[in-house]
Amino acid sequence: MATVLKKADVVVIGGGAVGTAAAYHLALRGKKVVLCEMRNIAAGATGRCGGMVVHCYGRFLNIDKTDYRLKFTRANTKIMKEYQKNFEIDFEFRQVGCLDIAIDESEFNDLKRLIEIQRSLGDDEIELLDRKETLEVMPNLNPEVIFGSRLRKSDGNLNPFLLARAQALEAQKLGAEIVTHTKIEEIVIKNNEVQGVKISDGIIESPYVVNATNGWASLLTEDIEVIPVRELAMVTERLPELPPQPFEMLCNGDFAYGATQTVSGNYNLGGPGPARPPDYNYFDETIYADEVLRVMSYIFTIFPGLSEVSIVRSWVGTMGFTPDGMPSIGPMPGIKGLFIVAGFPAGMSWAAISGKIASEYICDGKTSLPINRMNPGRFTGKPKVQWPQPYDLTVCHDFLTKGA
Amino acid sequence: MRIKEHPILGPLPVAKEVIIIVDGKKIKAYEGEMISTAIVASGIKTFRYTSKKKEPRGIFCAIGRCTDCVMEVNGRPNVRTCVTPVEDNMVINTQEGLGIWENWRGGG
Repeated sequence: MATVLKKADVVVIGGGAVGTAAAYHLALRGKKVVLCEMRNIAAGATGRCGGMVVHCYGRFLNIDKTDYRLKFTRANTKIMKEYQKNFEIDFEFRQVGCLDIAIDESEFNDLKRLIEIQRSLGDDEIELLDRKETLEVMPNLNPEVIFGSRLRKSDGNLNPFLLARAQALEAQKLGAEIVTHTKIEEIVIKNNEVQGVKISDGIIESPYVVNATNGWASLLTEDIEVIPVRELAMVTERLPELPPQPFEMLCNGDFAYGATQTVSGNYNLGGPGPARPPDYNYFDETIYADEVLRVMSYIFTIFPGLSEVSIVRSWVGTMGFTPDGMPSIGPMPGIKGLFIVAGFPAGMSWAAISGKIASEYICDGKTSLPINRMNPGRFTGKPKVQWPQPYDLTVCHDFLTKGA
Repeated sequence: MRIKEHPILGPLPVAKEVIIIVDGKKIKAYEGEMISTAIVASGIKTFRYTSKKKEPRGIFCAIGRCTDCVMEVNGRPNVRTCVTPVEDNMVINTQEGLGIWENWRGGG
C-alpha cells in the first residue's frame, strides 16, 4: 500500500512556462496546487528555446486556422502585459516585431500567398516587406541574400527562464507548492477517474492532474500523441544593441528560428537538430559539432555580422509537436480529472493563456475561448502518423503541408 | 612585477621583447606571454568598465572563463586578455561597456 505523501486540489506535472502558468492561474482561483517537475523550473524546452513570441508560428501549417490561433496568442499577449504590471519578476517581454525572411523569389511568392490567405481570414496586422523595406527594419541582414519578408509588429521576445520563474514565484505566493527533482512515475487512474500521481516515495492524492510535460507528455498519457522534436541552440557573446528584430527563416528548406538579441546583449540563435541513427533518440541533449556548424552557416549567410562574433555556449533541447501541428489543450476524453496542455512549437506565445484555460476548465467546467480544435483525444482511434526518420521541425512542417 | 624565478615552474623563459600599445601608451611585453600578464606587470589594474554601473574590472579567473579581463584588441571588443598572447604592435584599449565594434573589420 503506497504512502499518501500529501493531498492537493490539482497536481500540475511539468515546470516549464506552461506548467507554471497553470499553477499560477489555478492558485489564483484558490486551488491548492502541487507542481511536480522532473528536473528544474524551465529545464525542458522553456529553458532551451529562443524566447520568441510569435502570434502565428510557421508558414502553411494550420494557415487555415489563422484567426482561431490569433484569438489565443493575442489573449496570451494581453495576459503577459498584465503580468508585467503586477509580477515581481520582470521577464523582459519586448514586442519588437518578428521577421520571416525569404531568400529567393519563389520563397517571396510563397510569403505573398500566405499573407493573402491570412488577410482573408481577418489578420489585419501581417505585413509583406520587399528587400528595401526589410533592410530598413533590420539593416544588418545580408542584402545579397534577402528577397523580402513577412513582419508582424506585435511579435517579439522574452526571457523564458524569467517567465517560468515569475509565474512560479507568484503561484507560490498564492500558496502553490513547487517540488523539483520529482519525477512522476505514473498518473494514478482507477475506474477512469484520476486519483493522483505516483512518485518514488509514494502518492500525491488529487482529483485533478494537469499534464504539462510537452515533449514528454505521451510518456505519461499515451493516447495524446505528442511527438518529441529535437532542436539546437546557441548564444553569442554580449554585443551592443542592434535593431532587435528576432527573425525566423527558411534557409535551403530548413527551418532556423534565427537570431534574437536578449536584453543582456547576447544573440540567441537556433535551428533544427534531427535525431541521429541508429536509435533516433529525440531526448538526446548531446551537442554535436556538425549540427552546430550547420545551423551557424545558415544564420551567418543571412546575418553576416554574426559570423565575426564568438559563440559562447551551445545546447540541445526537446520540444513537443503533435500530428497536426496544433497544441493539445483540453480534458482527456474518457478520463475524469485529467487535463492536457502539451505540444507547443511556439510555447512562449501560448503558455500564459494555456495555463489560464486549464484553470478555467478545472474551476468552472468551461473556457473563455473555444478549445474544440485542440482536443487531446482527436488522434485516438486514428492510424499513428508515420514520421520520416529522422525528423525535425522542418520535416514535420513539410510532411503536414505536402503540396501546399 | 613578473616572477623571474618560480619555486616550481623554474626561471622565466628567455623571450623576445615586443611592444604593445595600451590606451596609446607603449608597454614592454615578451613574446609568448598573455596580454594581461604584460598589462599587470606594467602596473595597470583596470582593464575595462562595466556597462551598467561603469565599475572597473581586471583579472579575475585568469583562465579564460569569466570575461572580467576583456579589452578591445586591434579594434575587436570582448577579447579575453588572459588567454590571448601578445603580438608586436598590438593595439589594446580599455573597453567601456560592450565596446565599439565599428572599428573592427573582421578576420577571426
